[in-house]
Amino acid sequence: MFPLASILFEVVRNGLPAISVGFLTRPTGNITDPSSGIGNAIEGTLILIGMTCLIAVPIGLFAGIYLAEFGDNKFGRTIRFLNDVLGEFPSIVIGILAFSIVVVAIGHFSAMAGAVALSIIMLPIVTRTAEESIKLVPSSIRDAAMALGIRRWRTSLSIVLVTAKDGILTGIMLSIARIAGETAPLLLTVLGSGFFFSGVDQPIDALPLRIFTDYKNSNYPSALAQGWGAALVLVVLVLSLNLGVRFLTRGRSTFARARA
Amino acid sequence: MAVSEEARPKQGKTPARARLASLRFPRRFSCDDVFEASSIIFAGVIVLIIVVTSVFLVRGSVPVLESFGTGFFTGKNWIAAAGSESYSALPFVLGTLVTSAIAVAVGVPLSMGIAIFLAEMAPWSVRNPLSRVIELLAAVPSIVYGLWGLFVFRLWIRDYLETPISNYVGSFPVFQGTPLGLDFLTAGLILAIMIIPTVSSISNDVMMAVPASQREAAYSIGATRWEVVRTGVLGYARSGIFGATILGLGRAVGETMAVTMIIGNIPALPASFFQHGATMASVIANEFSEADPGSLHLSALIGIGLTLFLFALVINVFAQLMVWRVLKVRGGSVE
Amino acid sequence: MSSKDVVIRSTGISKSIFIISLVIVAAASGVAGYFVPVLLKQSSSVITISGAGSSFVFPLMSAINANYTAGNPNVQVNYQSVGSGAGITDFSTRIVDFGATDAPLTGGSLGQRANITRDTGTPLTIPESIGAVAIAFNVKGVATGLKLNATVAAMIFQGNITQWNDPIIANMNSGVTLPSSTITVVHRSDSSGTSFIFSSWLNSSNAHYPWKLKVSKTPNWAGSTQATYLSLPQNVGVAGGVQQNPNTIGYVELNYVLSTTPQMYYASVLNGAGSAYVLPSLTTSTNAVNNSTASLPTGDGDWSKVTLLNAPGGSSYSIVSFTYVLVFKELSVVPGMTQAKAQAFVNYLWFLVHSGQDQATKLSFVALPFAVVTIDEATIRTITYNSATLHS
Repeated sequence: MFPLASILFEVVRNGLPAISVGFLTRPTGNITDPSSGIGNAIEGTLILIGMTCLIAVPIGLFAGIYLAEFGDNKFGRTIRFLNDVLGEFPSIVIGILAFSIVVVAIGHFSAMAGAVALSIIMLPIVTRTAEESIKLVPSSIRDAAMALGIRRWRTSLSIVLVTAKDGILTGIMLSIARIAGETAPLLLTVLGSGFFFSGVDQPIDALPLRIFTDYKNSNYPSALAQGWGAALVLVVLVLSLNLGVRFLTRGRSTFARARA
Repeated sequence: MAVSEEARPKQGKTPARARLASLRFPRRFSCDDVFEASSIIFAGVIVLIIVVTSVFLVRGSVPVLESFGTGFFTGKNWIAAAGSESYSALPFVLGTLVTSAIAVAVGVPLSMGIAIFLAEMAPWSVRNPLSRVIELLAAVPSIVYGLWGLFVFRLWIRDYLETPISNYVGSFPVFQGTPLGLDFLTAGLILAIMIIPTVSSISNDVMMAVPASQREAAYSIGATRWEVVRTGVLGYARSGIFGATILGLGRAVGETMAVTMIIGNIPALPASFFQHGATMASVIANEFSEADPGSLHLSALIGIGLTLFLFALVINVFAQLMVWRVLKVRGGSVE
Repeated sequence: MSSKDVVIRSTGISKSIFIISLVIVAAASGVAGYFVPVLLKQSSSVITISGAGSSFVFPLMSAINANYTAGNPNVQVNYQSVGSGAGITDFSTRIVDFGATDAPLTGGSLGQRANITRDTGTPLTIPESIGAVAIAFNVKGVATGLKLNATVAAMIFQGNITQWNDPIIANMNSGVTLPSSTITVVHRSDSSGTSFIFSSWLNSSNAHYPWKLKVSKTPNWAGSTQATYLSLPQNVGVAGGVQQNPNTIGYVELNYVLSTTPQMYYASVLNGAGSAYVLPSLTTSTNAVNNSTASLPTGDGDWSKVTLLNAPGGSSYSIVSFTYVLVFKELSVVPGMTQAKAQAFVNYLWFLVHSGQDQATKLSFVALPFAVVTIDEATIRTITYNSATLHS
């Protein structure tokens, strides 16, 4: 408990002085200049999250639907197992994979490569959460829908998903919190940037990358302060995602949160 | 609930053609089939990713495995200088094993303690905020752990843990070496801290989901508070707690940034807690961008990636086996 | 009947909120991506040039690039520090437009320069800045006044000498009280141009105690059995390792040492002439460059033998080196290159070696002397796009 409190304490203590509206909106530009900000890093993290969700959420949802609805057979068990394996993948290996496939294919570092890497990390979490949330929907609902003559696919999409939405949204938000903090895969795929977004096939910055770069240059006081400020912003972002989950599922049973 | 489970036809087992034939509508694929097919395709993406990864890792490792054969897994050198290259995954495999073992050995009991406290003993006013705080702390990114670990934590460990140990039992082989705080022990302890939130919050949820009937049954036969926890709750929740441990272990094995900044990054066989070392993840992170494409060095790094991949596989297989065994023993009464 | 079995309940999010939140997430990328730059008045015809490599030169590049974009708003030069080795690899595989490295391309028929020329095109080597490596130490009671030469340093760093009060060190440092503790050597764990420069200098130790652990971005530290090592990533890691642990010695880039607080202590080093012990500073580094008699090759030549180490001159610091930008002579080999981008790139390179150097001194870097700038100008003039030169 104590070490964890210490981390938060240090981050807040060192990061708070750096925060200002300008700091949060200016681009990094010259890292040795005290007026350098983290606006592009914040934008980059948001864009990467958006792109990653666009890739991972539909795939994960449908994979989860498959596993929950049709997955009682050998193929389903295999998929479930492979999904768990994918979830245990070290992020650095995923980074190498994304590098070898996307960066080499496009020809240079890009936001797309980073999004692919992050979505491979996000996918198993969404799939697992979706599957378990859907499984929690009692058969009585499905039976009622079937009794009303609603088709299977309609039942799954409109009724079961909607009932399971809390759990699914929980899973999505928690996985976003996870990927927002991933550094290793981004190191190999997006290069980093001192400027704002300029295209999905261009390098992009992100908060964890910014922290790492600032750490490497922490002999310049402005860079060090910027690094702590970026760490604070990242921690706040991640914590508020978690708090949001808490808030939205208040009064809820614990099943939805059991699979983080 | 059980009745309708059986009554519902097992879609996966009925051939599509038979289903089609049973339709009274004009012959066409029903939306249900499209739905099932498309969901299979999406689920298949997972298989695709794993297959692509395996192919890539295996193909990339072939050069180094051809050059060194099983020596890649049993040697103890890692020399990347051209002309005298010698690669072995063993130092890193052992490094990963040692740090993960420390992480689990220290982290899981602590997590259990926290989880038991939260689930069984904490008053309501403390339980909710505290469990919320723990879950929030699971979200701290690993690079932040790395920074804190490098500048704060390792100095504590060095001054309050390692130096006293070194003074008293420094002659034991496992405690040899100058304690500087940048070693297997600190890396393992940081990993332990990192897995505590995950393991304890899942264990907590699992324990809280144990039906009251289990506890009541234990109380009713006169068990003490601790015995209730031990037999009524922990026994029932065993598989879930085990699953939490496996998740924690998986995270410890794959953790990159925090470990790279703390472990000292020297490929050496672990012989002492106070020794520098490297893990599979840290060496890949350190050296991957440098290695020339097509070189033996790169192949060796991909070989280590393959080893990590196999680790993840083995951990999961093991977890499945354990859970399956528990299921068999308990007759399937697992949530 | 446990309430946990009932899943439908009245609290929790509503369906509309769920859909809205998904839409918001998807829209976040669009909004952030397209509107923020518009709001900040960035033109959509921005040319981006990307480079990667040496972390030593990163602060300088960061300042120069920001300066350049301020004057040329439609050109953004994005340089990131991934390390000299990765910089060379990224340059040769053309996933960045230029690389930056503290270690020049290796020569010889099997060297990097030959491989790149054969596989892709002629690489040009353009010195863009100058760095020095300081030997930092942390010994209680010893602040300034520690003197070393290449031989003694080599012996320390490879473990021939293991105690601070070894007679060989004491001999050279008669005014200093050295403790009897074991020396802990701090070195880089990652591949580093700084390691390359330092090990090159250590290699100039005398024949009785030659440097055995290789001149390389990754010296063979494992080859020493007697030294006590501490291995840390990045300059900041080594600096921290020295500052936070007693009886340590390590090597750090000078600009790092000069700009960090709390103050670090570093040794004075015997100059090339053997006449005096010189402390590293911007002045002594500049002296080394100015006095250096090394004749520099043309941009497309072999720079692997170029050295500024052990430069002549009474007040020249001995551990000084160029840092280079690597560019392809024929820019059309780089994917995504266009006429406009090639022109902008060459203009940027011209700026880099001229006005860009104004940023150097205040960041504790050494500005390029006139002679080197002249060579760079000639090199830049040879850069072509589709065989047409771009800068006259």
